[in-house]
Amino acid sequence: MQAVETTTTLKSVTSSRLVRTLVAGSFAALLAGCATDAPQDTWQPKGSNARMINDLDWVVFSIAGVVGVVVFSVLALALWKYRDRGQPIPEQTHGKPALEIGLTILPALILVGIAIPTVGTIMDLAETNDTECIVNVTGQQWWWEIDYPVQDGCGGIEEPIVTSGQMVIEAGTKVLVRGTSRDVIHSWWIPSLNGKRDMVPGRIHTVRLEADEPGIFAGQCTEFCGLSHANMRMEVIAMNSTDFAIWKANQVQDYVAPVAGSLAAEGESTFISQCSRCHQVDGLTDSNDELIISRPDQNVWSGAAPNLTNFMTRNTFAGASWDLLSKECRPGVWDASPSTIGAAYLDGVTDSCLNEVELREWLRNAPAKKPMYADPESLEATDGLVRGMPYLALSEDQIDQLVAYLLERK
Amino acid sequence: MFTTGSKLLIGSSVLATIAAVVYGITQNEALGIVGLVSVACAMAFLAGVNVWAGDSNLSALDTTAVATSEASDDPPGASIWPMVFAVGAAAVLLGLVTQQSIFTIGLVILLAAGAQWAVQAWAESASTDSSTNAAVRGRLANPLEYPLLGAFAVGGIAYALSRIMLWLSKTNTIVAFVMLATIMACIGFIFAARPSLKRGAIGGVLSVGAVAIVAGGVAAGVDGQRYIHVYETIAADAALVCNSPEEFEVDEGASQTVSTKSGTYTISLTADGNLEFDVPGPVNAGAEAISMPRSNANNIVFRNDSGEARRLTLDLGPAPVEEGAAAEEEGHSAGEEHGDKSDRNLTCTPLVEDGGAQLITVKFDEPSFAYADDAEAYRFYVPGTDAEIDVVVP
Repeated sequence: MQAVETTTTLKSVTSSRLVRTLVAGSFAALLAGCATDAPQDTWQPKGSNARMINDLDWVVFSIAGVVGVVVFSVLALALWKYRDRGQPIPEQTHGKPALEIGLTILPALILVGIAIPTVGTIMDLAETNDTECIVNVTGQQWWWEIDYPVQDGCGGIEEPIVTSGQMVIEAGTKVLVRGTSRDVIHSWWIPSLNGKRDMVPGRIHTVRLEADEPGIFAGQCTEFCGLSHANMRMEVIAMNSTDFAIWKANQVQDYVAPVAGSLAAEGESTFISQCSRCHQVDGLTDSNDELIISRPDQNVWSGAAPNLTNFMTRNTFAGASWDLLSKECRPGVWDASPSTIGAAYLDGVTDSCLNEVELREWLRNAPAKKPMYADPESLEATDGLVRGMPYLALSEDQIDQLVAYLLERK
Repeated sequence: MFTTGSKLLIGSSVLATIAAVVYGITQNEALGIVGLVSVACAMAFLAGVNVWAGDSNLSALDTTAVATSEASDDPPGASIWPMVFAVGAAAVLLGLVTQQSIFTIGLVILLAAGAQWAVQAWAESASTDSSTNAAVRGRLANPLEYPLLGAFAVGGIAYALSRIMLWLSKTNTIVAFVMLATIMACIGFIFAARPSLKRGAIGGVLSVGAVAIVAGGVAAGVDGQRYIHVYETIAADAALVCNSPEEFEVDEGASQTVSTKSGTYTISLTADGNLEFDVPGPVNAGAEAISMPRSNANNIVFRNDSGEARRLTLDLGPAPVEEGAAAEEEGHSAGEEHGDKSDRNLTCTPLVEDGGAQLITVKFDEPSFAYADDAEAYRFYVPGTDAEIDVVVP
């Protein structure tokens, strides 16, 4: 008898703990929805496309919520009202055609009701003929290349612009993102501007972006793409037309070599010997005054490495995973108001605002900071080509030189 | 207490362990060590089983054991599965130190034999009647065995037929298989029309047919397949093929349709002889060239609506200079190279008939500005016409 009571007590305690854990877990999940610092919140649209999705979400979730409440209420009522109280088993009936047909037609009607705005929204989102600016994005493990082809759109682009990690657009302009991938399937997603779009190797996909007003809008790859998938981030920087014109002009400026004899000049030599076989800096020449053309296809599995011509005009690096701006300076750009963010962004990264610690860590041993397949001893499957940036065994002096050189790349 | 049998097995295990250590120290060779350690493990396992089972020893004074002990039950039926299981285990061990394929085959044998062994042992404990036990086994195992054996048989026959097909000439294959199919249809018709035919006769005919096909397949496989002409590829002589509107061997039998309907670049040769391009989404207004990413497999569908068979050619710049030829190339400017197309790195589609389409995949290793002085680099053109489009690679 005592054993039975002990068992019952144990079951009761276990059940009580389970209930408490479930309640606490549910409450924590609920509270997570209240986060204010959530730049990838899908419920805070900042552009027309994301707003279309958001509006549809409210319709669908409202209907689903009502259906859920009705179903669970009826279920609870049935469980409570017809619970086992020792009563005899009721008379068994073989179906009720009217009820069954009704419960087939009603959900079908609800689904049709949901399908009408859903299909309409999908078709509206797929529309690209109204776009005024074309930007190409190319995904690879684990960063995004962004280029602006020659066009009349985007306020006119006369020579291609290549950057990475951060896409700069003009606020209030419908932008066509035309994307593909160099290695595996990636997915482009800026939640506050539009839905996801998979980027499949060998195919071209399109998605439209539009930001209501200037700002920085964060996103990340949403198709698992390998070891550092979680570190494959990107941002869209929207600015007004004046600031956007300045940014474009800055991106195609001629290369300015460091002052001879400076630390940056030593950095240029180090860059040429250590980095330029993968990273392109437009206009960089060798000792014979020949243009240096990087050949990442000979070293990297994806065949590409970020173009560093205007590296310090961005404010993130390594797949937009780390800030180039120090913690002190970051809020000055990221938290700037729509009227000042363009100018703040265009200032780029200055000597006093550089997040030198993490940039040095990256240069010192990139694979230790971001998981990548870069160990020379385990590259048989890729024929010796690395996935990501390898360990370069740079000395501290070389790192000093490279930091000085990169600081001038804007 | 340890029985005599257990002592023998324990001793064997210890001996194998010592032998492994000695072998390892003196020979330093992995395969032998693995073998000896495997023997030691196997002996230890058997010794453990023996100790646990008490060597099935019965006291000589226990007279009732003659009727009550397990040994008095009917002995289990003969089984091949322990032997097959052992073969599988040996293959697994061998595969671990040699080839993965041997390990995989061993594992399959091990699992299949283990399952069969377990099912048979389980069925034999169902009753003391061996026919009942056989029925119990069949009820569990046959639904899996028959489809698998059937699949193997069909696979074997199909593979044998494929060898015969590849051995015969193209024409003879058609004739032979029309005849074979007719014979099979006739036999099937006879079987269906004569339900009174003895099962033995039907089985005999089918068996003879299956053996004949397998034997024919083996013979054909041993003799080898017929001569199959290997067509030249465009890469074999791109400079000649890609600069000509004429038909070459590479163009024979080329597909004139592509399954890719969207998500690619499209270049069309129009009826008035112009090249037009399209991409998903609006075309870059104001752009006079196609923009394609660097180091990327760009798929391009070429459609020919010109009224004549044409091919699309891409000039990827000067051809890489091979070692040894460098000295001869010295002094040649880029401009001189343009005159001689054999110096160009070209790729192209096969000849596309009017109304047809072909897919070409191209990759640009360097940006366009690497060829800023080369007017012909990164340019699509159609040999025999003036149509061309430049490509910009950022």
